[in-house]
Amino acid sequence: MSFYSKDYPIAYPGLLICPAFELGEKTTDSQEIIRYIPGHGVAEQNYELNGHTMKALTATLIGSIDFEEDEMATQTPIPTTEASNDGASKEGDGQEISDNEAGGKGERRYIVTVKDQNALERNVNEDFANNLPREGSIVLVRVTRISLQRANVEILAVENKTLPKDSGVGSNGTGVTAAGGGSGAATFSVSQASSDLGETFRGIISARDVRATDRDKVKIMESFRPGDIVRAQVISLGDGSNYHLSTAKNDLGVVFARAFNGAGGLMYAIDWQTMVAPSTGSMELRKCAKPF
Amino acid sequence: MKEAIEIQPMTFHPEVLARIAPDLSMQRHLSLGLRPSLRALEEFRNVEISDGQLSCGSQNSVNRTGNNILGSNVLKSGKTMVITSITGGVVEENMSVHNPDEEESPELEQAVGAGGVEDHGCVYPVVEVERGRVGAPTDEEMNLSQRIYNSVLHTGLISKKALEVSVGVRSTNSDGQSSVLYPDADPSNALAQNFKPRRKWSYVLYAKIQVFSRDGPLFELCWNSLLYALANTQLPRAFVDERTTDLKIPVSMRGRSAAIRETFDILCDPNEFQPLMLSKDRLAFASNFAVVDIDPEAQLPKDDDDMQVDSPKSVLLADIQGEAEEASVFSTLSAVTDAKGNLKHFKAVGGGSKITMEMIKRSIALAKLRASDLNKKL
Amino acid sequence: MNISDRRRILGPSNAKLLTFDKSGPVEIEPISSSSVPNSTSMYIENGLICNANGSSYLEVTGSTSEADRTLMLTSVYGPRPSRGAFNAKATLSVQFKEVTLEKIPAGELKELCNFLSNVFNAVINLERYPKSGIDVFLSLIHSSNGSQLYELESIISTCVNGITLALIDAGIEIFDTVSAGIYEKHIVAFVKNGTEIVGFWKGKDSASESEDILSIIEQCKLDYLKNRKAMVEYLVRCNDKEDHLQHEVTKQ
Repeated sequence: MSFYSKDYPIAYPGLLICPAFELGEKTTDSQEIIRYIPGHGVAEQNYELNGHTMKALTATLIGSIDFEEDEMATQTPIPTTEASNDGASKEGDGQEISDNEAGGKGERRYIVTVKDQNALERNVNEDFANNLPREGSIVLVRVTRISLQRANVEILAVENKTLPKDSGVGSNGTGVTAAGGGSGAATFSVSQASSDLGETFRGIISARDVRATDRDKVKIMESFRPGDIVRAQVISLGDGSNYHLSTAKNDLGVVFARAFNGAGGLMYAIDWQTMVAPSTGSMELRKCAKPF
Repeated sequence: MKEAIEIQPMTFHPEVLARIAPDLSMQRHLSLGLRPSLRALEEFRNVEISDGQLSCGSQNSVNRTGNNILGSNVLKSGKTMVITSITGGVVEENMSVHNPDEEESPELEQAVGAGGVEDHGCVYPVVEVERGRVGAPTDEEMNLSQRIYNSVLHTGLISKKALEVSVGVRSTNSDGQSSVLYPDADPSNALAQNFKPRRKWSYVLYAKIQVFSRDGPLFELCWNSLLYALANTQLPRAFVDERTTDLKIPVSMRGRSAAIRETFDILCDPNEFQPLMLSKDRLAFASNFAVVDIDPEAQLPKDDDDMQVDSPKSVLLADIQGEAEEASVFSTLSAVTDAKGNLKHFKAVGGGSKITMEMIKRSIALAKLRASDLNKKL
Repeated sequence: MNISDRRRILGPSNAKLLTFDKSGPVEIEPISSSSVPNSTSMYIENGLICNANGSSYLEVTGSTSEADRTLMLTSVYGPRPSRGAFNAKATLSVQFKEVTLEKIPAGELKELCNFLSNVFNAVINLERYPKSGIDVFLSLIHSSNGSQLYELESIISTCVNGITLALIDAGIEIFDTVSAGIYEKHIVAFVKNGTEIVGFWKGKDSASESEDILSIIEQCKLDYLKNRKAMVEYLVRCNDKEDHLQHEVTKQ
C-alpha cells in the first residue's frame, strides 16, 4: 500500500505524513521509487527510528493532505528547484538517489501539500501569513509618494487572495479616521518621530517598470498619483524594506483613482493612459490597467 | 466610448474592495440599505457582560488570596472585548479642621452643595488597546483615558462621601483574640470615637481597561464597561491596629535620613466588603453615531431613475463598527445619557458631513432607548 | 507608579495600595482537592481577537483546586514587514503582559519571554517568511496560584500551549505541535511526541535538587502528552466541524 493512495485524517502540525522515499512496485529488472516532496504546509524532518535516522514529511499547518503527482519531473532524476523553496537541502538527496539508481528510471514524484479546506471554498483567503508577496504575484497597492524616478506604494492585498488582518485602517492601520476616533499612523503629526503603527509591506515602482514600451519617456506624474489603487506585479523581493514592482503589462496599472488628487469623484479608464470622471468630465493621465 | 465608461473595470471580492476602497464599499452597501457589517442603519450591536469572576469581593470569585481587584467587568460587543478591573488604594486627606463635630458635617456638605465638582469622586483610568505593539501609549489610549476621567468626575457618579474610609480599630485582648470595631457598627465605642476625628482617609480607585479586538471607536464601550465594573465594586472594610494609633516611630528612609512617620498602616479586611455607593440617578450609558453623506455617483444603478429624487442626502448610523465605516465616517456623535434623557456628555465631530438638528435629536432619542436597555443588564 | 509618567492618569502620588490583612483567618477555604479529579483541565478557544492574525484563549484549571486557574489570551501578529537590512528568515518576538493585576517583576517577564522565543525559534518554519517579523503577545488575564504572590512556573506551560495554538490559528508553519509539561515546578517543552526537547525551565526554589533529571523529564512528558492530546483533539474537532458545516451549506 503506497502512502499517496491512503486516506488521511485532518493534518495538524507535527503529524507524520509519510517517509521521504518509498519503494513501489518491483519488477524483475527495476525497482520503482516513490519520492515525496514537501510542498506548502509540509516540511521534511529527520526522525530517529530504531537507531536509524530517516527523513520523513510532517505537516506544519492544519488542513487536509493532498498528494499531487509531479508528471513533469517523473522522468528526470535531478529535482528541479521550483518544487519548493527549501530546495537546497533536497538537492543533495536528489543527487544521492540518482546515483543510487543507475537506471535513472522508475522514479515517481509526489508533491505533498496541506491545504485549509475551508479556505479553498472561500473566495478570499485571509491567511496572509502563507501568501506573502513573492516574485510573480499580482498585488494591489496604494501609491503613497511619487518622485521623478519612482512611485512608493504600500501593499494592501495580494490579488483576490489575501488581506493582512492585522493592518486594518482603524485598528492598526494607516487610514484617516474621524477626529479622536482611532490611532492610525496618520494621526501622528510629522513633528513626532515616525510611529511604528500602521506598518504595511512597502514597494517601489521605478519609472522604467511602469510600462513596456517607451520606457525612457515615462513620467511618473503622468502615470500615478498618490492615493491611486494600482494593480502591480512583484518582480523581486527587493531590499530590506521595499518590494520591487512592475506595471509593464496591459492588465496592470491604476484600477481606482479619484480626480484632482483625491478631491474629486471616481474616475474610469477610457484608454490605456487616460481616465475620466463622469460627473465633471475632467480627464487625467494615468497608466491604466485594462479594465476587462 | 460611452460603453467603455459603463463597463465595470474588473471585479474584486467584497473583502478586497473593502480594503482597497473602503469608502466605495461603504457607499455600495448603503445604496442597498445596509452597512458593511450587514446591520441595519440604526441597529446596535448586542452587548454581553459578565464580571469575569475576577474581583476578590464578588460572591463567586475564583480566588480571594493575593488578589486586590475590587470590581471587574468583561464586556463583549461584537468581536470587541473590554476587560475592566478596578483596584484601590488609600490616600490620606488633608484635614484643616481639627475638631469637626459630628453634627456639623451634614450642614457643611449642604453648604458646599451637591453640584460642585469638588464633591465628586473619580477613578483613575488607564486604557490599553491591544494592537500588537509595545511602547508608550498611543494618542487614542491617552484620549480615552482622559475623556473617561473627565466624564466620571463631572457626572458626579461617585460622590466623595462614597469614597470615605470609615476606619475601624483592631484591638487584641489579653488572650490573643483580636476583633475589629467599626465606628458605624458600634457608635458608642470610645476608642473608635476618639481616634476617628484626627485622621481621615479616602479610597482611590484605579481602573485598568484593556481592549482586545478593536473594531471601531472605543469610548462608548470602555465607558459602559467601566460603569458595570463600578456597579459591582466592593470596597473592603479597613482598620488600623489599636496599638499603633498613638505611635510615632522614626523610620529610616532609604537607609540615610530618618523621618518621623506615623505608622498608621491601614489594613483591609479580606472578608468584609461594602458595595461602592454610586449615585443611582447619575448612571448613564454611552452610545455613538455617525453621519454619512450618500455619494450619488457611487450608488448601484436603480431600476427606475425617478426613485432617486427623494433619497436622502445623508444618513445616521448607530454604533460605528468596522474598517469601512471608520474610514469613511468623519462626522460622529457620541452621547452619554440615562434612560430619562438626562445628558451627561455629548460630543459631536463635524468633519465632512453636515450634522443636522434632526440627526442630533434622533441620536439622543436612540441613545435614550439604548441606555434603558443597557441599564437592565446592571 | 512612576511619577514621571505623564501619558497616563495615575492618581495622587501619596496613595498607598490596599494591603489586605494576612493575619486573620480567611473565610473561604480552597475547595478540597478530593472533589476535583487530580488532573488539569483545559478550555480552548481560537480566533477570538479579530485584529490579530491568529489568537487563542486558554483557561487552565489546576490540579490542586478549582480556584487554581490561569486565563491566558495569546495573539499572533505578522508576518509583518521588518525594517532595515534584508533578512532571509523571519524574526520572532514574544511579549508578555498582565492585563488585570500586575504582580510579576519586569525582569522575570523578560526572562520568560526570552525562554519562550528560544523555544519557538526552534519550532517555527522561519525560512518560509523572509524579511518579516512575527510578534507574539501574551495577555495574562488572570492567574491564581494560592497564597504565593506570583508563581511563574504555573504560567509557563500555559504560555507554550497558548502560543502553539495561536500560531496554528494564524496559519504560520510550525514543525510540530509543541506543548509543555509541568512537574513540580520544572517545565519541559517537547516536540516529536516527546522524543525531542526544545526547552527546559527549572524552578527556582524547587526542593528537589537531588532529583534525577531524567525522571523529571519523564514526569513532564506524561503531562506533555496529555496537553498535546487535548490540543490536537480540539484542532481536529474544530476543523471537522467547520468542514461539516461547509458541506451542509454546499448540499443545500
